[in-house]
Amino acid sequence: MKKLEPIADIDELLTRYYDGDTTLDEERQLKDYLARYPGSADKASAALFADLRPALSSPGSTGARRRWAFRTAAAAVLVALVLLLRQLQLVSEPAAPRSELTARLLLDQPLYGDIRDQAIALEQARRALSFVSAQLNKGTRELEHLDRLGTSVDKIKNESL
Amino acid sequence: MNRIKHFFALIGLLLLPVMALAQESPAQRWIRTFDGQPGITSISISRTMFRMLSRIKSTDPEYQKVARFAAKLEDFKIMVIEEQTPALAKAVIQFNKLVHASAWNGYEELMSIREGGNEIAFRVQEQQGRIRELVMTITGSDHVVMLIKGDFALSELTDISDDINISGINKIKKLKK
Repeated sequence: MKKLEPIADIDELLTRYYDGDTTLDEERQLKDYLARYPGSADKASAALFADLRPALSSPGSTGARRRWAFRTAAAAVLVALVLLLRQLQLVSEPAAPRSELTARLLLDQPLYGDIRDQAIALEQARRALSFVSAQLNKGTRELEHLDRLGTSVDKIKNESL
Repeated sequence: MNRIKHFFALIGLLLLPVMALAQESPAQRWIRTFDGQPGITSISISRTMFRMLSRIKSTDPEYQKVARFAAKLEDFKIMVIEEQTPALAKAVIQFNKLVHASAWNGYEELMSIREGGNEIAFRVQEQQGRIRELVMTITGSDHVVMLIKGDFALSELTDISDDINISGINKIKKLKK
């Protein structure tokens, strides 16, 4: 940005300003210049830039800044809410279908970590312990079957002697 | 003198978590390695919760058995690798390694059953004829480990399901010898 010449450039810049062709930097330069040399432009322009001073003192208008800040805060709140809901298991990614065995072992609802609810703990314990108990009994039944088979084989052997 | 007592008390408090970890069994330790991994369900029920469950009154015979058994339990953990994705392939390899590793020193193998593409194995730590820790592992199509820690007779556990079979339990004991 070239340094403003006292008269010629200020008029040209003001014209471009009223045409809506100036950049924010040029507008700030106008403001600074008119603050230093208020007599260098017409009274109306000097007064206008005096009113616009706070708005031009930082990038973007107050309104735009406020909108940006609001949108950023809203986005941050939304992200925090989603993370919290995920943590509370109120919103979750769709679960992969469970295998038959897993469905027998675990409750339908998603559970993680230490179970704090009595009813849920009781139901989960019942389901898991029943599974273990049934499998142990199944194993011992098979042993009994083998044992009976062994007895029959011995009987045949004895009879053949 | 008081300062020295306070110092040692503070050291003791700081070391408590370390000591608790040191008292973990091998099975508890390796279940903990899978904690918090996505795609893996890891659930536990504490001793305090089991105390509460043991006081539950129910007319349902199965729930009555579970409540009675709960009074004998100190710890319950179940870990299931639920998803079969490339991301969890490493966890599955680690799981299979641990199931077949020497981490089972101090455990006796009770039995092993094949069911629908899975091998279900039971290992126990015994003390004076009572089970102190029972670990069930499932490998094959599914990957599960369940730990039941407490002080109970095996028959008390098998009694929970309807198919009670005490003579079968005696056969298991003979096989172990």
